[in-house]
Amino acid sequence: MARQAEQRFGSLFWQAFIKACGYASSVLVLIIVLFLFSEGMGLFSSPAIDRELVAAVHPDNPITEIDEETLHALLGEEITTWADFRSAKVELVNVNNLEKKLKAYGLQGRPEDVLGQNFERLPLLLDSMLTVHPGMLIILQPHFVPQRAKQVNVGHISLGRFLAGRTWDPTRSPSPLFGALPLLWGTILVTLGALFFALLLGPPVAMYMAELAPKPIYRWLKPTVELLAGIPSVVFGFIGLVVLVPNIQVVFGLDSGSTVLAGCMLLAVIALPTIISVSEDAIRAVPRTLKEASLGMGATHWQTMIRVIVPYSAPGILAAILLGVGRIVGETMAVLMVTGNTPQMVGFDFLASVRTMSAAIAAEMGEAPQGGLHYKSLFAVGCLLFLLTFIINLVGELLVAKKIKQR
Amino acid sequence: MKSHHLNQRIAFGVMKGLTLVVVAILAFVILYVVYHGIGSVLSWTFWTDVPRESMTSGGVFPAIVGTLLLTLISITAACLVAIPAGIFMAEYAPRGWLKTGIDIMTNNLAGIPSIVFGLFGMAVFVVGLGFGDSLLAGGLTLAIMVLPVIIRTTEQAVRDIPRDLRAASIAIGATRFQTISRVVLPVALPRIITGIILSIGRVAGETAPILFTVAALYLPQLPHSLLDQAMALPYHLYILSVSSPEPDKSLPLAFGTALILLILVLGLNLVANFIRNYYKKKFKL
Repeated sequence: MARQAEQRFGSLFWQAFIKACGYASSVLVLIIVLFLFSEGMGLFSSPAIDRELVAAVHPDNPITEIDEETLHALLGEEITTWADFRSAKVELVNVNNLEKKLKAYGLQGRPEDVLGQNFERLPLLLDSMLTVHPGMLIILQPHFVPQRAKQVNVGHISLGRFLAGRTWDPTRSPSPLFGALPLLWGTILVTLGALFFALLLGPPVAMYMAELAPKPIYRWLKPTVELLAGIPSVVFGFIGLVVLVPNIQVVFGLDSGSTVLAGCMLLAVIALPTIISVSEDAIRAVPRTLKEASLGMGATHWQTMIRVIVPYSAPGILAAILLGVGRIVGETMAVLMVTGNTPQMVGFDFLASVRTMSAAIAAEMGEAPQGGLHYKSLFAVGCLLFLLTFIINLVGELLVAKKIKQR
Repeated sequence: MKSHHLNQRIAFGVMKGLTLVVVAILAFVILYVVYHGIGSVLSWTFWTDVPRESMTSGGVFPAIVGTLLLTLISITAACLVAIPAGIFMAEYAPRGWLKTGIDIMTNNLAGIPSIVFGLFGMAVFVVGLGFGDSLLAGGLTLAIMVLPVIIRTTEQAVRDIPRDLRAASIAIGATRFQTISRVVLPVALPRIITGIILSIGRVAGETAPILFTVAALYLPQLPHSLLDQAMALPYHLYILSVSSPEPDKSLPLAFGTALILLILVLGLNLVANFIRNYYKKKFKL
């Protein structure tokens, strides 16, 4: 009796454990999304200025808040006078031009000598400069800003500028530029190119494996494709670096072979196993009756493939391609190693160097101080990457699921 | 009529040729790495020594140990959750929209880019839970990455058990749980193990999730605890190939490291295939 009770308790415990694990792993995606977005969205509630810096102006200057747009215009010297403040000339003082400004004000010698070892006398000096140049805009650490100056709020970084900004310069001081468009375009360009090569190889090979390959050959082919899927992407990246990159450099006569093209070729190989095996399943799912009807009417095997099998399995093949695209978009190491890693807008130049979203995260996260703007911006890029792959995979999965239901 | 057959012959020839191209790519990658890496791999010091002279000589011993430990931690953690979760999906999960939702979630979990897992692991394990850059943080990050793979294989393996087996067990008075634990699981186990073995290959070769959760650039001593940093083979290969001070000198070492990774993946695939074929014959599934 006691033994039975013990067994009963044991089975109840294990059943509870099984259920707990099941529910836990099904909410895992939500937890990942939560963390990713709470870090990433933090970017859009941060002022568009390095977090240890503040902006300050003359106490009589009526401005109380500078939005992101205006700040960049001021820093780029596109705005040179204060509209609301007697048209006073804007005199920008920040870390980059401090020495020059001091010289212009008539101070000779090294700033350390004039201002003290830790720049202790800087606030005092700025105070007197403020009287001469009422249009001064000071962007410095808070303890260098003179008492009299009025601190102004700097507007938040906007989602629009993040998505549409054409410059990715996350370490620019004092106001970094987080335009993710070059990264997004890098990813899109590499994906398009990779897709070209993958489409050339994937579906025909899947068709061969499902329809034509004799059994002994198939028995070798299937593990071969699986093995290709198993090779780590860093190994592909390494091969790309020592084989593809030097050859591309020679063939196209470039300064560096690290190009979009090299990334495309590698990524196509990486996406191939996914595309081949999902397409193969889709082709195998075509009902025999359909095929036999076509063959029975005198169509050749090839005609049957093109006119019957391909149209019937098209949604499945499309799903395979989408899942392949999902892999390409998220792939990191191979792309990081061979595409040259320059965040720039390149148009449709496949021989240029780009930095993709995933590569940006991998390359820059190591240097980004925790909790800073750069750190948050990389999480925001991660969110964008996640959303992109999530949508692509979701559509792919839905297509596969629909196909299975039809059967 | 003739032209139709000609078309067919051309088309089939093209398909055969393209298949050959894919096989050739794989063969090239393997042979190229073997050819250039065999020299390093055959030397004993490559396996037992630490990297020396800013990674232009010596071996990869700490990276091998690091990768083994990482794999052990992540696979153990993943199996602990994923196998019960897979059984849950196959046996207990209520049918209907909830099940569909969970299915889509798991599938999408599998599609999340590995670098995003790295970000998540960094936010949660390294910073949030305060593990720092450590074996534990990296191992758990990798565990979450392979979770969906093991869940899927377990679910599929359990679901494909023939009805007769279950019916027989229920008919002699076994409870549902007894049927699962004594009849279904033992039969499904070989396939689950196959899935786990393939996951080992994935975990051992993955670089992006460990970039900022565990990987050390250069760390000659072995980790002493779960909270230590460690070197890892894939990250070591990355470092050797992109940021070596003397690329020419470290190239043989890089090829050697790549070859170790290839041997690992190749070996695991062979073992998985062997188990699959062996049990296919044994159980006639």
